[in-house]
Amino acid sequence: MSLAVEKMRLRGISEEHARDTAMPISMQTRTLFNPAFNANYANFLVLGFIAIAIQLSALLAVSQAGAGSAALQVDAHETRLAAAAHVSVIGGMVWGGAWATVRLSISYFGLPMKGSEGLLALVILWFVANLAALGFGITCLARDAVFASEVCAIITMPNFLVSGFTWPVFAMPGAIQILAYALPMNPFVFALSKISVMGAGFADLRFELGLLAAWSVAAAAVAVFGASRLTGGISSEAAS
Amino acid sequence: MNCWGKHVVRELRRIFTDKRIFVTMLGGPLLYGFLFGGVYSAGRICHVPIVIVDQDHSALSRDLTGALLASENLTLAFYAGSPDEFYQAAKRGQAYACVVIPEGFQKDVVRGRRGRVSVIIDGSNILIGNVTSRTISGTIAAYRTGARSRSLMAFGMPCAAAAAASLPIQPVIRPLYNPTSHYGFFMLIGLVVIAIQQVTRMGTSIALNLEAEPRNAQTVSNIGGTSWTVLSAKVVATSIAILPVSLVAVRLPFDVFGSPFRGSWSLAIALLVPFVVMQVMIGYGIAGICRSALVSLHSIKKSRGMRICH
Repeated sequence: MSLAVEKMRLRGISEEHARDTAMPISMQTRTLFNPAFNANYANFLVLGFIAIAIQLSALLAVSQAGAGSAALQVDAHETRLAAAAHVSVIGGMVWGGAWATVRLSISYFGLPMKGSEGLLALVILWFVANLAALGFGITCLARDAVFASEVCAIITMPNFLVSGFTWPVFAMPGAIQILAYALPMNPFVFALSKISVMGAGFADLRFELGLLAAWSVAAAAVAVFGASRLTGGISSEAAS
Repeated sequence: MNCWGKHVVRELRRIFTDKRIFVTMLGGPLLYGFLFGGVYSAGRICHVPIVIVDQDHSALSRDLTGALLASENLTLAFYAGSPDEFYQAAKRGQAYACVVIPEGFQKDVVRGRRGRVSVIIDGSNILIGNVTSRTISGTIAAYRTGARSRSLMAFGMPCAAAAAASLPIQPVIRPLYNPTSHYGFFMLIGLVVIAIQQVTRMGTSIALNLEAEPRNAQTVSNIGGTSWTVLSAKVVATSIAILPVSLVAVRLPFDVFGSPFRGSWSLAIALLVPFVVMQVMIGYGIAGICRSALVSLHSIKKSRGMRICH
């Protein structure tokens, strides 16, 4: 700009006028939510990595416990109750660990925490419960912990990239956009980031909470169906 | 056929007939290759929704708005009365930037005073923030140059001289290797290699642990040979089965998704072969150490989680 001003001054234009002419439109930029922007990569990525770890832990815990799903034989007539008990115990255990991980990471890495602590804990619990129910259902249907682990690995692997956390969903092709929203990690990772970085509340998270609710219905259906199939199979084996 | 050859043939037969091993090892790299290729197929982020707060309602502000929205990178989320509406939209993921053109903008520019434009950017996603910031500042810079030329011409400077004085230094940037800054060209091959590594290790650990089943253990014992004979036969057979799939998967980014390939395929294959063989050996190693398919699968998944973090 100074070169342009100098050229204009040489042509006899006053310095003040030359400055305004050289910069006729000025732009002031303000960055929200991550003011350090490019200098702070952690605010952008760390929560996503933590979400992967939580998802992995929940599914691993469930597939391990699923290996002992023969416990359902004890009470074959109480299928729903047994499924609920399984999911509650595993979900509760993983939730404690997951919440502690998120809190410790926020404190240790100095990530912003602008939202409600209660909402954060609730969203983590909801996500873990969904995964516990889903993983339990898969293990019951697979009847084999190794096979269930394989299926869980297949679900987990593309999640980080396809969930839209780094590469935005609106930049993906139509069919993959649907897949991105259908992945269990999508609503969780966005809710986590919005609560922590943006200070989002219930009203701002309507879409994410709606997707979590849809996942709850789907996961509960898979869990109950899986448990019914397992106990049904065990009963018929016992009868024969 | 000697005992080693029999083990190789048996392992190959098992890989192609056991649905779980077949799908994991041979279907996995292709499935993930196509999926990841699809995610990055656009190559760049465009149509980022932005909010416009036009408080000037002048011909110049409308013109500037038009110039911003003419860019393929930006799209209009909505016109707002104040920047406060943008804060809510950003939290809901409806918009990622807000351009505020204040009242008196046109008047200032016409009178030769500096017109001010405020830009608010959602920095929570660095990729989107960068594209938005770059596009808006690029558009405003181009607009600024035009306005500067017009001002100089108003001072009586000839058109060509005004154009030269408005932009005294013009940078010529020549990006090498990835001229369009296509994100897929940068990411895809790395992701495909991760997928190959993951499914190879997973498939081999499952394959080895299935051998622990009494029927399979009996068959291995009937063929005979030392544990090294069995292991080397398994490594060779698995590598033979997975190498062609890995090669197809590695070529996907270049042949299907348009990434440029300027080197030699012979050299790429020469690197791929030891890489795949090494993954097969690591998979068998983990399975052997863990002595349980479930534990080895979990070890592999945990190591993947750590790798992604690094």
